[in-house]
Amino acid sequence: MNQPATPSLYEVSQLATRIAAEMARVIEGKPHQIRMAVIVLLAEGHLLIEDVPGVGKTVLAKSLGRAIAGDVKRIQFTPDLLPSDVTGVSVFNQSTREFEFKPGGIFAHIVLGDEINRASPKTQSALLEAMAESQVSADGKTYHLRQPFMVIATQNPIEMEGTYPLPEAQRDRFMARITMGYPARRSEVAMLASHAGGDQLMSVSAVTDAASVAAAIRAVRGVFVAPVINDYIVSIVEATRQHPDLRLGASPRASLHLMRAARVEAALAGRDYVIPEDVRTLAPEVLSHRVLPTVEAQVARRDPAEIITSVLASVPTPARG
Amino acid sequence: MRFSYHPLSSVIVAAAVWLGLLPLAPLVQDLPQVLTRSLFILGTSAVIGFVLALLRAPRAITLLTQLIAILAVLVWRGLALAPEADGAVESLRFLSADGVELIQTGAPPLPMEPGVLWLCLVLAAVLVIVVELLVNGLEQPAWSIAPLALTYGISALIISTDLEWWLLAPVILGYVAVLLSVTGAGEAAGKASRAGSYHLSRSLVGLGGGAAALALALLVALIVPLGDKQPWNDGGADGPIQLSDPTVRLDQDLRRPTDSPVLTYRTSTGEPAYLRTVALPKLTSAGAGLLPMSLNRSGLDRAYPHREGERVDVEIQMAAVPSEYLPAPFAPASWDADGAWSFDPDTLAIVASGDNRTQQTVNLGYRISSNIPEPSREEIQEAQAGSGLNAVTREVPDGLAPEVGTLTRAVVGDAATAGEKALRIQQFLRSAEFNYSLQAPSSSSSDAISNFLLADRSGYCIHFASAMIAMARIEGIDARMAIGFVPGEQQADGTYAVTSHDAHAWPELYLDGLGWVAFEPTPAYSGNPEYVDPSAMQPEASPSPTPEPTTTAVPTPAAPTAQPTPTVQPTAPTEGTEGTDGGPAAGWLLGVLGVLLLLALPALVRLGLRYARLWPGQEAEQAADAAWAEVRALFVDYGLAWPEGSPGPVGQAAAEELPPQGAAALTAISSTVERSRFARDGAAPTELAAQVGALRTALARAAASSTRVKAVFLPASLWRRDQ
Repeated sequence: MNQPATPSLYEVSQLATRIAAEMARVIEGKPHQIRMAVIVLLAEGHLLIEDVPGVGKTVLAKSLGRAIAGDVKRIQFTPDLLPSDVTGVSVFNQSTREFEFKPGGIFAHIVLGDEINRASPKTQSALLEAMAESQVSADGKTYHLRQPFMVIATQNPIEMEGTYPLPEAQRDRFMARITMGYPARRSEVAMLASHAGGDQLMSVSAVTDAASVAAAIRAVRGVFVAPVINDYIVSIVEATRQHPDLRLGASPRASLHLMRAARVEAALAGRDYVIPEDVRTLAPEVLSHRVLPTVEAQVARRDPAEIITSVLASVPTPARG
Repeated sequence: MRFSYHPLSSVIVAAAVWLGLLPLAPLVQDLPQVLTRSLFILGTSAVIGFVLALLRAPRAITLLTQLIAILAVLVWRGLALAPEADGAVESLRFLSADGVELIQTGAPPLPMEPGVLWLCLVLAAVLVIVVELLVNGLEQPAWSIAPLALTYGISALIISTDLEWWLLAPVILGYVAVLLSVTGAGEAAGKASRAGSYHLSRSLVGLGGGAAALALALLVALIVPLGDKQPWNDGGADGPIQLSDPTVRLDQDLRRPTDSPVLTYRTSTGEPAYLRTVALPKLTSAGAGLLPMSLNRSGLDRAYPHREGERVDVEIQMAAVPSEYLPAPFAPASWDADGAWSFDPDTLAIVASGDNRTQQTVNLGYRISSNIPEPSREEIQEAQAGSGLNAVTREVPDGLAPEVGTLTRAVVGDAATAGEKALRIQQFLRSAEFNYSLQAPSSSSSDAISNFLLADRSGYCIHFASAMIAMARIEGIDARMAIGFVPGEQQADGTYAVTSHDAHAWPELYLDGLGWVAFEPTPAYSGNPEYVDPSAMQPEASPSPTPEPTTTAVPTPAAPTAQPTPTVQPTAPTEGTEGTDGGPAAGWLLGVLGVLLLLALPALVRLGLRYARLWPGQEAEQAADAAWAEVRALFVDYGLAWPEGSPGPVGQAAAEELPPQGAAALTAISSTVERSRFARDGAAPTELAAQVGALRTALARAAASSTRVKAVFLPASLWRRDQ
């Protein structure tokens, strides 16, 4: 595979804009969610979409895959799904008399893990391990996953029946969590009108290719994060650990994810350095699914996102380290 | 563009101020010297203004530089002018005092002494600073007429009728030049005048300018003696009046010049009258003297409340003798004489205040209406001592021998009233114990009065008068010495002829209800027969010497003074010689400067902060942070909202509210600062100072002028720290 030259940050920003615009053609009125999906893609993270069925979670993942001309595989998580269904399995080939690795659903650029909380914890952890390491080990051999690689897992709210809620440690592996929310009335009407013409997803065309996205990811890695920004990130994460409304704060991995996401945010703004605003903008999406509110906060119906916002307000913006 | 800052505007301002100095011509003798010397100061201001404007320096800097440079030049010129150099401040103070004294004592046109020149230079400096502030600082060139016309106003107040109208022409020329140099103001004003704040700020600036001009005028009025002179009072030329010293000295023998006619008069009653010129309230053991007068033009008939008496109109024809007082019967109520005359409400002396004042009486024919009080002996006997007068008239001369007191008590005896005491003292002095003589009492002792009363008992009129005054004061009666003429001899045509030998001095005592009552202790004179005891009268001393005060006493026209002439300060009502000292005037100047400095303090502190923040010698990071602090302070100064966040987003958000130039500057600054803080390789802060300057210019242009003035002189960032 020939690697395109590392693009400039301006080109990265243009690329992201094109992808988002293409996705917006089929996902009405959700620019924020689209943008988060693109950011997580470029930040080499994974996205957790948590919402009721039928609000467009799958469409989001598929349109993203089509827009970057990448493979999209969908794994429908069910209680009887086995780990090898996810990672792949070695099968004895009669003709070659060798074991042959049959890659599982995870070998794709975009993996859509539908209703991940319906699968058994064992299967869930197989997926999450592959997510964390970008590789799969089977029968003593290690198979690298493709680049770019992004898991978009959807999860129904845990109050719904027949679900195994993701443990905290596993939610932590997702870079960001978004909720789709019901579309605005006008958007929903527009959606009905457009669906009358057939499968909307087919109209999404590729605006780039996987190699370009991989190059963009490399470019984003070059965004500079000043020591004061790192300090700021750690201060925010530390503050979640001290916050009286939270019984579990964010992990060090949260700091890492926040830094990487902020880098993309900066790159999308055309900057080769991160400013505090990049961090602030993404902190609720990156942190709120990793923290556990206290019972009192739950009773008081204090939303984790709300708590993160108050944490941000309490941490002073860095001026000079 | 709201207001164009023309590089030549400082030059034109300097030229206008220079032209504005021309109306000083009637006030000083050597105006060209003032004009050439002031070129240093005005040139300094013009050159600095011109150069800094070309360099596009902020106006506050330009004004401050001009101020400092002008002060420096002023001090330099002052030290060059000052005769001695025992400390710069002392020299300048001395110079100022010198100038103030000359202005107060000299009549215009003033000689070009160093002190006067120095004050003229100070005036030029103050004018150019004020006009610069109005034109280039506050951008209100229209108000520059106030300082520019100040010199004309001063001249007009002092010279009134003699001021040439065309002296206003250079002022107007300079003013028009200043207005023309300010291009584009009309259009901008037209646009801006739709905003209410524009009118408000105009009114505020107008009030401020008016107040400043008024303060300056008051300051000038304190230094320059104007008296009651008002421009609408048509009274002829006026100016500081220099009175000859009529002090009478007790230790000199009477020298009698040849008898020459002084005046003739005719009274409406046909009776003779004492003609009084002036009264000397001050009595020391050496002689009697004047107090400073406060001269008035009108209100003579109300100046003296004790008006009972015979109304007498007197027609007087002076001979060819100069005098600066009009001889008049006491108490004059009105006069009708050619020339400018004023009166002193205390002594009721009528004083020449015209141009050629010492010659005003030459061959003058005039009329006086007087109420001549003629208290009866009984009224005097019942009268108590008056009160409420200047304490000087009750001051017993220093160094009087204690025996005088004993003698006085013996003379007064058991007299119950002040009037009775006065009569007894008069009787005592008129008694045979005293001799009338043209010789002064022996001058072995410096105390002539004690000598006269205790030892010699021989003298002429002023000794008798002084003795009576001293004794009356010992008894607590206010007393002063009147100078004038005895009635003279009646001619065949019914007029009375007064000669130089008729000059006389007599005491006036203040009695409750009667006012000033003239007594006649000198035995050779008859006085008012009602209360001059006829039994005690001596035969007139042969050869009827009509005594005259010493040569230094110049109420009489005959004896020109040879002594240095202290002056009367009409504006200084008390004896305290505040005016001549110069200290208070310099104090005023210092006070005004202090107030100005105090008012300018916030602006100066803010300026200093700005300079420190934009100092080019800082590290790149410090420079960026400091520039950002300055930008933030500017926003606070101009009352603009400051968004939350780090420099980049804040700059973008705030830039949306700004006009394009300011927005560009702000975006550039915020980007530099942001890169300096967060990017890998910072950004060179070399442009920051210029960008901050551009931003400040844009903010100032966009702001209402009241906001702008406030941002400069009361910068809110000094005390508001909303971090």
